[in-house]
Amino acid sequence: MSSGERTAAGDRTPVPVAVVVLAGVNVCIGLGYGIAAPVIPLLAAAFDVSDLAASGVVSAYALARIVAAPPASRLAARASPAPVMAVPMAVTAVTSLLAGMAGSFTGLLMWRALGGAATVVTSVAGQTLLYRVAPAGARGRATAVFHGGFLAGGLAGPLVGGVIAGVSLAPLLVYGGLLLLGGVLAAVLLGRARRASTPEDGDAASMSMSLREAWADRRFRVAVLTQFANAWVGNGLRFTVIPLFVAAVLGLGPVWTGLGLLLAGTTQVLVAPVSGRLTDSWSRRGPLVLGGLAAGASALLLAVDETTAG
Amino acid sequence: MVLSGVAGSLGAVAGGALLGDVLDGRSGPPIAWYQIAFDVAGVVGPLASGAMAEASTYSAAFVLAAAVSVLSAAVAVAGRPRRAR
Repeated sequence: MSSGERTAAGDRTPVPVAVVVLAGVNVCIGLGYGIAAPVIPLLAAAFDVSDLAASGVVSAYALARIVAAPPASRLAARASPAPVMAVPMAVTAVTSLLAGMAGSFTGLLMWRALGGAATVVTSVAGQTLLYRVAPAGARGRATAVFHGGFLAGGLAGPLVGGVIAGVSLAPLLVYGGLLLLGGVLAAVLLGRARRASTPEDGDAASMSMSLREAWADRRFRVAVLTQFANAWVGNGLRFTVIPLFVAAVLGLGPVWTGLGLLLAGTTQVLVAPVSGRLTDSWSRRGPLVLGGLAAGASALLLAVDETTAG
Repeated sequence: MVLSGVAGSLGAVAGGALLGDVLDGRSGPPIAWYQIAFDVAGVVGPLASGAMAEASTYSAAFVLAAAVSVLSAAVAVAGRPRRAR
């Protein structure tokens, strides 16, 4: 089957069990991340460095993720993706703790960068597994389950984190524990699920696709641009600029920002199954166009808010 | 914020499924670059938006974000991603 587009059976193809397990692992990752993320800027601030240096910790983490992604994808394509997903989770657990206990700013920077590299190996291996086990007719719903797991964990994270905040290393310990739990889940359940759901394991070379080959496909360029735009608005804008905007222009407290983010995140989780069904039974293009226009409209509404408020 | 949540869900799900269509059971660097698009936007987006908000107004940053989104919708229309290979 080369494409599951508009096939009559499209909506009935079941989502493989392995995808549900992957989503479970993603809940652990998202939950842990949601708990640990607010602590990281405090760690840098503790060393009494400039704001620029403190934001360098975040940049080092992101840069490490970008640099490590291509080799991670080659490793996941060649080796069995389940351990490639699980082992870095243990590495992330350890490096986060070491970052929390770092005696110097350089140490903190180093452990965060190493942790960033490890997390991207997990992300890429998880997606490698997802696209290997999800049949064409269920790809939309499978992606929705995968994506929803991470988001749901990320939403609950700060709520749980609020309870344990104040105890210095506790959020990082909980993060590490959740990662280890997810890693064990991945290693034990996915090793088995993968064997059950992919009977025709081709050789490693035929399983791997080069970037050039993908880029020649228009659909790949559309997917990458969508991802870029989506992260720009849904991640970049939502978590950095909007909180500043709410405080500076609308003159509202952080509680309102929190409520707004919770509302957006909850909607995103609740709408995921609908997006999945639409993607499988209607078309890939429809949801992509609607999503792009809706994101554009949501950003423009904020611009109108500023005009009316100021 | 509700609209932004709906948009995020549609884009992530349909974009991911489209990547799956391109791969068609295979794996490797395309997955890495799909992930990199997310991480790069996560770094560049706030920097560019913050710079615009500082230099002019928050509205400028929001209009820029809207332009990036509408561009992705336009490319999705032009790219005809429903066609099988």
